[in-house]
Amino acid sequence: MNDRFAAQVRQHLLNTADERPADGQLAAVVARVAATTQRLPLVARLTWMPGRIGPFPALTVRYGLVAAALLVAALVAVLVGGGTATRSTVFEGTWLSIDPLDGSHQTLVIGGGNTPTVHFEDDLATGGACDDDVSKVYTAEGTGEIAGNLLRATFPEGGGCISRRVPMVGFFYRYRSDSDVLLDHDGVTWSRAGRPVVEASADLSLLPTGDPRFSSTIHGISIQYPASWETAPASQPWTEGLIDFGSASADVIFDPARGGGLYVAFASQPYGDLSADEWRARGIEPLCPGGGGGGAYGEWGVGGAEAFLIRCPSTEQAVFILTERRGYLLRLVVDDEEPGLSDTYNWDWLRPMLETVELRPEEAFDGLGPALPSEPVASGALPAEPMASAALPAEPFASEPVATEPVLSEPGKAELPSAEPVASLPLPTPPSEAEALPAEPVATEPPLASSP
Amino acid sequence: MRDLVIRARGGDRDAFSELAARSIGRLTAVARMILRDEYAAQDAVQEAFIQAWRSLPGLRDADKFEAWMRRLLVRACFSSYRRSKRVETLEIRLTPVDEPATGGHERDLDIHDQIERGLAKLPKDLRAVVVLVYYLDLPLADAAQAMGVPLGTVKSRLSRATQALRAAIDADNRVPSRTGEGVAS
Repeated sequence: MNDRFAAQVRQHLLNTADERPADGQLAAVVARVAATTQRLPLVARLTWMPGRIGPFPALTVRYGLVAAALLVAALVAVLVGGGTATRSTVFEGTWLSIDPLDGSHQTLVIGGGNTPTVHFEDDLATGGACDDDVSKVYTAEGTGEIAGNLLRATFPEGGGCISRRVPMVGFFYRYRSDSDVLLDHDGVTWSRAGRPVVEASADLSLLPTGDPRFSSTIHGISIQYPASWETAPASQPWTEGLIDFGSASADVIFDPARGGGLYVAFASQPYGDLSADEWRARGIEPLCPGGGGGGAYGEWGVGGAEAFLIRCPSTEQAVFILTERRGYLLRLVVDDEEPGLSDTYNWDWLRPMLETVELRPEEAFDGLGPALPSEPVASGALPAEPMASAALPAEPFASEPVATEPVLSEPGKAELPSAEPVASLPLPTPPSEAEALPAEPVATEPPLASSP
Repeated sequence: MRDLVIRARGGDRDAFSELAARSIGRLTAVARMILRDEYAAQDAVQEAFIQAWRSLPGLRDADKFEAWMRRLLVRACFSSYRRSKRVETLEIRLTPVDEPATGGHERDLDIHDQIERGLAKLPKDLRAVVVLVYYLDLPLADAAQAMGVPLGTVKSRLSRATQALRAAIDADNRVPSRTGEGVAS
């Protein structure tokens, strides 16, 4: 940062800083302090206590740590060496990543076979799971289930440091054969041990990248988009509802200058019990409520699959793409209150973008095991009856609005479902071939444990 | 300050309350800048203070209380971010273009608006390093300590933040017009 720009940033921060505490904020802190006991000095002084400043207190502790580190390194070396020679699946072995949020080092040790053991470890958990613990090394033991290039991991006893375990759901790892890496549910890249670890990833969509391509980790689709636009990846499979700017189940590419006023949203799902044509026909209804298809309507091909164009008042352009077992919906939504916007962002604008679409239905992800409650629970105390995150409708594409889980935007506030009629969509197909994962939806809100 | 820390370390709640009163404003400002959410910022500050109170007996050097508090606050901010990161991607604030121009200060206002928008778009870890270095004026080593990451990581994050801010401002300059204010949802 040059001096002038740095000075501008500094001046801006000083000008805009709001150093007034909120009403009652100090009183709330004092009240909580009054109800909280301090840790014993001996416990609080342990070396790995959060935020402790100062040298290690004892030589023996240092030597102990060095010995432990050497032991772990030796074990890793053995695992890596053995895995390379006798790997039974592409997942087998030790994988390393850097947590993009806190820079901690994460390790994943995956055993052999199609239902391998999975050991997860984060050397410095900064989430709340380990707040009460002396050690911040977060570990979890689980098993994996491999379907194609996807491994979903379940951790029946959750994960944690010492005193408590927290549920871990929504963990999956997709193998990328072109680069021999794993891409996880959070978009973090994992490298094989012994190879350079990919720099901790962060949202770099602001950086000029020339001709960017977005690859969905949920919906099995890849598409190029304008360099000045940004992306908001889906965090869960699409099981119901009309996809829009706020849908957690939609991948969204949007113009940062207009946000929800100009975007492309897309998602996919298996047909369930419907035929491809039935799925498409029922999908049109919520898109164009009361007005039928309306406007232009045509068919051609996208990504090698049959595609249908729909246009109606709610959507500038919508495209249904039909593969053998899976349907894709892609919406271009343009703010009709901004004059002339739809003259630019129309079919002529969208079509070249569609030509960059690559479909990978075999890589789509339709859900993991049943969602667990997101509140931390004690070790071994996970409920026997898992909570489903949303009830799926019995009738695919029912025309009545369906209540969906509100999305919390800030504590105590919730965004209500869209006023538009919401379609309920088909139940995912039973596990089969590459899409051989259970159909239950994943938890809407990632649990604390998902990023230790 | 040092006396207060020593007394609080010994379990004196009144002394800790005084410490909190002295620093809560600045810490809240930092949390607001990093999280850009008033409620989340208040929660993070409260969490940092509670963590500080509980662990204060482990702080050997009373003179390092402020640095220690900053680190606890940054950690609390990141914890808060983890709980809400999906929502964050949707918080896109647009700034109107039809605000009245203000004569000779127009350009300065423009750049500050652009910086504000650029900061809003930065990932939290990058924004945190900008706040620590440019608002609190911390040396990079202290910022690294506050964030609990190596010095090299702070350097690379600051570099990436700079790139991203510049890119955001450049992109902003390329947008010919805007259409009103609002938070996309």
